[in-house]
Order: sequence, then structure tokens, then C-alpha cells
Amino acid sequence: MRTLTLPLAGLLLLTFITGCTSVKRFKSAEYKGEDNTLVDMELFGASLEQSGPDQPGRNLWDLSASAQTRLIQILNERYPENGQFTGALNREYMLDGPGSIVDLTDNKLRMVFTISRKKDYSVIGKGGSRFSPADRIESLKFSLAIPEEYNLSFTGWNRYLTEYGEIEIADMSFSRSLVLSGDFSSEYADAGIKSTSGRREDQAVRSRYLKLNGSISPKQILMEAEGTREIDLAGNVLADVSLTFEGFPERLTLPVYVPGGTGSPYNLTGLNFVDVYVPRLRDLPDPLMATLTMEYIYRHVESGWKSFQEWDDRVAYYSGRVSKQIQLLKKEDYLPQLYCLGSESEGEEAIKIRSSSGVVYPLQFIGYQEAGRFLEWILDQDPEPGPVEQDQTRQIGVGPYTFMWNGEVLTSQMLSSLVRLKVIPVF
Amino acid sequence: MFYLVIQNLGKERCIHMSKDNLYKEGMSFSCTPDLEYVPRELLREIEIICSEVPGPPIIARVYRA
Repeated sequence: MRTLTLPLAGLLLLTFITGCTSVKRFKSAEYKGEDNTLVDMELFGASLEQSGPDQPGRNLWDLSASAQTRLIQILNERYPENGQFTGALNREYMLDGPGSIVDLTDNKLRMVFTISRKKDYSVIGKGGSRFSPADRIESLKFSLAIPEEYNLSFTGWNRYLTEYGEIEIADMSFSRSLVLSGDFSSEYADAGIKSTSGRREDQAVRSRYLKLNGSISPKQILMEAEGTREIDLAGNVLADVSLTFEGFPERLTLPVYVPGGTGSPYNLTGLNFVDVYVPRLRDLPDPLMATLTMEYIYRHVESGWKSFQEWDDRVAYYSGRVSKQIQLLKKEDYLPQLYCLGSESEGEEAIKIRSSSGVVYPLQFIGYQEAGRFLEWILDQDPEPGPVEQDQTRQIGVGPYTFMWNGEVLTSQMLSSLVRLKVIPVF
Repeated sequence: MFYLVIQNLGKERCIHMSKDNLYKEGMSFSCTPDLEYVPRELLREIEIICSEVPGPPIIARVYRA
């Protein structure tokens, strides 16, 4: 009898170990078909950050330490008065050259996607229901596609973040596994009988609890996530990508100021120009739309959901697909921050600039501050009441350049009549 | 007078004018000027190249004053 007891006990122990261990994924599994209503996905938020140009001008603080020292000595000799000296320190100079191009078409886009499961607690335990508290999204694949007509392309991944971890990426594609931290692993330690062989396999499974893949092409980003046991892919996903518009040329004006004399903080001594690229879009689509498509595998637990462990679950798998048009960007997000000087009471008319060769260009600045400073200068050209007639008709210009208004050369007299001249956005 | 007008980000701009109707497909122009113009009659749309930027041609409109 004793000779039979030992093998029987060993057999029972082996059955227990293999039948009731945390290594198992489920008790049984069956694919039940397609259901597109179990999971939904939204673009919760998108924010665009223009990479922007380097400061087109250079100032004292961009120089090396020895060059700074030397320049400060020179400025101190040239501008002994305190106000002038301080102004000279902050002056911009040493432009990159008239031929340099600044690119305003590169952008960094941060998107937050919300992936949610449909939760209907009223059907728990009912026959044929497709919801239990232990359900989870096991596999997820979603893409975001930009229409061809936008002249907008994805150029690279920067970061991908889920609630389980974060991946810094600087490439066109990635494939990473997120591993458990020490804190997480303790949650799984009580998940089953710890036989030596079981623990080894358990650790192997545990070492990869979320697999992420991503790829990017000019018109589409594609992300794929697969959670191993107990990892539900519902939640927020953050994706940082770089994208760029095709470029269209614009000419910006860079005024050169020097400290002024009495009554004027600074004088305009010259104008430089720099070409920039802005997004090339014939119209002004608002908003920019994109197509969000998601395919998922939904793990529904038909029985066994009372326990946290998954090895005793009877699982029904459903696949699903969601596709929708989403609002990616508003026009305020992608329009370059260029400003000009115009008057709302004169329609959309703005001051232009005419070169010595007779070609007229828009007078536009990068940033509100630069345009505001120029407005201050040009309003200072408005003569005081009661000047001589000659001063009223004085043409306003700098060097070989003349300012134009409504097809005519801008004079002091015209300036007086432009009561609502102000900084306005170009676009 | 004939005007060559382009549009970007919803804003039109005249980049060239001529007494003669010389504008043809594939011609290259600087796209940065902003000339005064009075469009009266749209003659046609053509594709031109912006000399400042590489890439595909853009659509321009030819107007007659």
C-alpha cells in the first residue's frame, strides 16, 4: 500500500503544479467573432509646438567669453553714457547673412489618445453578456493617417508613453518591450505555486509585460501594443512625433537699431531681410483632419473573473475595428507667428516696403515684440502738430528702402491720418 | 496690365506684373514680392516654380486689369 501512496501523491502534486500555476494564460479560450462596440478611441488632445527659427540676429551673449570681454570694452569706450551703453549691450548684430533661410515648417506634435472599454455593469453574470470586471484589451493596433492634400508629413518619433512606461525614440520605427520594475514583480510573486521550474518560466513571462511596436511613414503613424497577462491596454497613450509641412517662401524684415538721442530711445539705421519657409497650404483648412483607425483584440472573461489570477479564466476573444475622422490641428496651431503693421479701419491694408529696384515686398516681422518695436519707431516719424509743410510730405524710409501704403509712398502726412495703425497678424 | 497672383495660407499676393500676357506653365518667379494689383478678370490658372524653394510647382492665377 505504501508503495502505491508515494507515486500517487507525486502524481497529484505534479497535476496540481501543472494545472494550477501562474504560468497558464487561461483555462480555455475561444474566438467568438467580431464586435466593434467593445472599445473606443479618441484623440484627447493634440498640441503643436513650432520648432521655430534660431534667433535671426546675434547679440553679445552669443559670443565666447573672450569676445564678450573685448566687445564690452569697445562698447564702453564708444558709449560712455549709461543708457546708451546698456542699449548697446542688447543690440543685435552679426546676422547670418541675407541668404540664410529660416524654417518655420518643422513642428513637434504631442498627441494624447484615450482608449476606453465599454463598461456595462448591469449585464455582469448574465448569459451572453460581453462584459466582466476582468475583461481587458489584450492587443491593440492603431494608426493615424494624414490626407495627401495637406502637404504635411510625419518625419520621426520622439517619445511614446503609456501608463506602464515610457520610450524615448529618435527614429522612424521602434520595437521595445517594457519590463517590470521591482515593485511590480512583487505583485506577481503570489500568483501561484512556486516550483523551481514554474518560477523560471514565470520570470520569463514577467520580464516582458508590454510589447510596443511603432512605425512611421510620411502620411501615417502606426502603433501596436500587446499586453501580457493582466495588462489592460485601456488608458491614455501619449505620442510625440515630428512633422513638417512643405515650405513656402516669405521675406521677413530685421530692423537694425542704434541708441537714439534725446527724446528717442533708438534710431533705425538699416534693414536686413531673411527668407523663411512657412507651411505651404493654398487655403487655410481649419481644422486639419486626420483618420484614426484602431483594431483590437478584446479578452472577455466568461468565468473565473472572481479571482485576480488569469489561469482559471474561461476566455472569449473578440476582435474589433474603429475608424473615425478626428480633428488634429486648428489653424491657430500651425499658422506661423508673423506680424505686420496695418490698420483695421483700412481693410486688410498693411505697410509694405519698396526696394531701390522698385520691387515691393511685405513688411513683416517674426514675433509680436519685433513688430511692436518697429511700430513705435514709425509712429515716432509722425511730425508734431504745426510743423513746416515740407516735413508733412517727408517720405518715410530707411536707406534705399521706402515704405508704401495702399500703393503710394508713405509720408508723414499719411501717417497722421492712419489713426489705427497697429500690429496685426499676417495670416 | 497682366498680374500673376499666388495664394498661400488663404492669402493672395501678386508676385509679378507685365504689360504683355507672357505667363506660361512651368515658368519660375520669385514668390516673395507683394505688388499692388487690381484683379478684374481671371484669365487662367497655371503652375509655376517658386525660385526660393525647391519642390513641386504651385498654382498661380493670371488676372487682367
